[in-house]
Amino acid sequence: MNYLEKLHDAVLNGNPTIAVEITEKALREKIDPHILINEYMIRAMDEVGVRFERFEYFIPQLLMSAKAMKSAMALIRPLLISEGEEDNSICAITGTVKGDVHDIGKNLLGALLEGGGFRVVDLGTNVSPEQFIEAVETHKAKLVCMSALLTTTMPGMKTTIDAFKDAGIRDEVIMLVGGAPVTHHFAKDIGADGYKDNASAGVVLAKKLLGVGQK
Amino acid sequence: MNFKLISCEVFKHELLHCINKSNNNIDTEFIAKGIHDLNSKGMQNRIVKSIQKADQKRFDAILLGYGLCNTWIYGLVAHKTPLIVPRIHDCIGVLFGSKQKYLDYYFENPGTYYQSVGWMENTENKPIIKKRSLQRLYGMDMPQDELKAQFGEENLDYLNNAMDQIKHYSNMAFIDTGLDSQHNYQKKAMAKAEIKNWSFDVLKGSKKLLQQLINGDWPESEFLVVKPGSKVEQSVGEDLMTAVPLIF
Repeated sequence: MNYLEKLHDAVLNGNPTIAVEITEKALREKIDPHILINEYMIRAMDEVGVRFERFEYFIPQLLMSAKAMKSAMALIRPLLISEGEEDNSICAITGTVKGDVHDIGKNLLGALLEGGGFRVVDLGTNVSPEQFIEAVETHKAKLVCMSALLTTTMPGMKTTIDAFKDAGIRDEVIMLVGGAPVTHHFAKDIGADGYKDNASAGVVLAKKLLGVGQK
Repeated sequence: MNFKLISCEVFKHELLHCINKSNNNIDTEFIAKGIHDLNSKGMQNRIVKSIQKADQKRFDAILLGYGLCNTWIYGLVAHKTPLIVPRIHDCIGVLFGSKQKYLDYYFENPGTYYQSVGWMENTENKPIIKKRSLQRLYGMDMPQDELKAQFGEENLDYLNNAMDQIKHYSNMAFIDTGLDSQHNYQKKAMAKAEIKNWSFDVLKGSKKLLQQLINGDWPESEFLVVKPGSKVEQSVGEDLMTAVPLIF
């Protein structure tokens, strides 16, 4: 199975074509898809996150790694679903808050969460508190990640957290906030569970708070 | 009164108009709009440089032609001279002349690209700012040929789309603050909106907040007065910012 290391490298180096080739070959040879995900792709995406935080990788590299992982996952996911295993991964809901249509950071986080083994349901942009709540209930999500680029829309994070409290489901989910104007001070004041200033650190925090991948 | 004005150049024309109408003595300094592309600390450092110089002279107050503008204002300290800052999100709110009017329009029209004379006059950043910008820091301003060489032509559309901050925009709004020169800019803004296939609005702006800033008319609801020995802190409420005494 030595060639599988090439899958790790393809994700790390952001090469979707090779990632797909190796995944196809591995699946033909009946290699357990979980091994591809857990031992090669997640490991590669963890390294991508580390390199991004060290400014060795930049957003284009991160996006290419995400594309490589996503392309490979597109082949693997149907197999997992047919085995009825899809629900084993933790569901994360992502979205930019009401009024905000800036989604670069949110999409990076989504890609890295997927790379970290989460099942991501992206609600897109301009998401109301009611839509966040509905998505959490529908998908039995454990994690909500809200993003805002502007101080004008940032209060929507508090409105959303308050709506979760009013609905009586605040304690059932971890709620993280991020985006250029967001600070630790703000996150604490509005009752969020955490904040990080970049997508990669956000995934590490999410895993920590949910007890995922603790060694 | 004797004031130092340190302002983003985006308000230059409006402020010069307000200064002409005021009895106060105003020493002006306009700073490049592009410093908004630095991180908050970088933007603060640049403005603090000017504040420190002004602090060595005897002004009655230092007027800041800025809003929260991301979060640069938090942590700002008034040493010898009071600092005055509009309680508003950003320059667009200032040009609306009212935080509430801005928010009302904003939430009715998410995905709006705002334009004004000052915005359109100052579109290109100086190389020194580009070099230190967040776009450069995160590799988002990589030229097309470099992107193509490094990631392949087949991935160009994907990367460009993923890094396009305004891909969900659908409207352009030109803010009319009553400047003589604005007609041409308004036409240019409309042409830009047409190219992008966006709707186009002309909004009635106002110099009200800028005139109040210059006149020394600073009601607490609209302006924060940071007294010497105090610093600006974030407020989660509608007041946006608060001043607290420095603790030594």
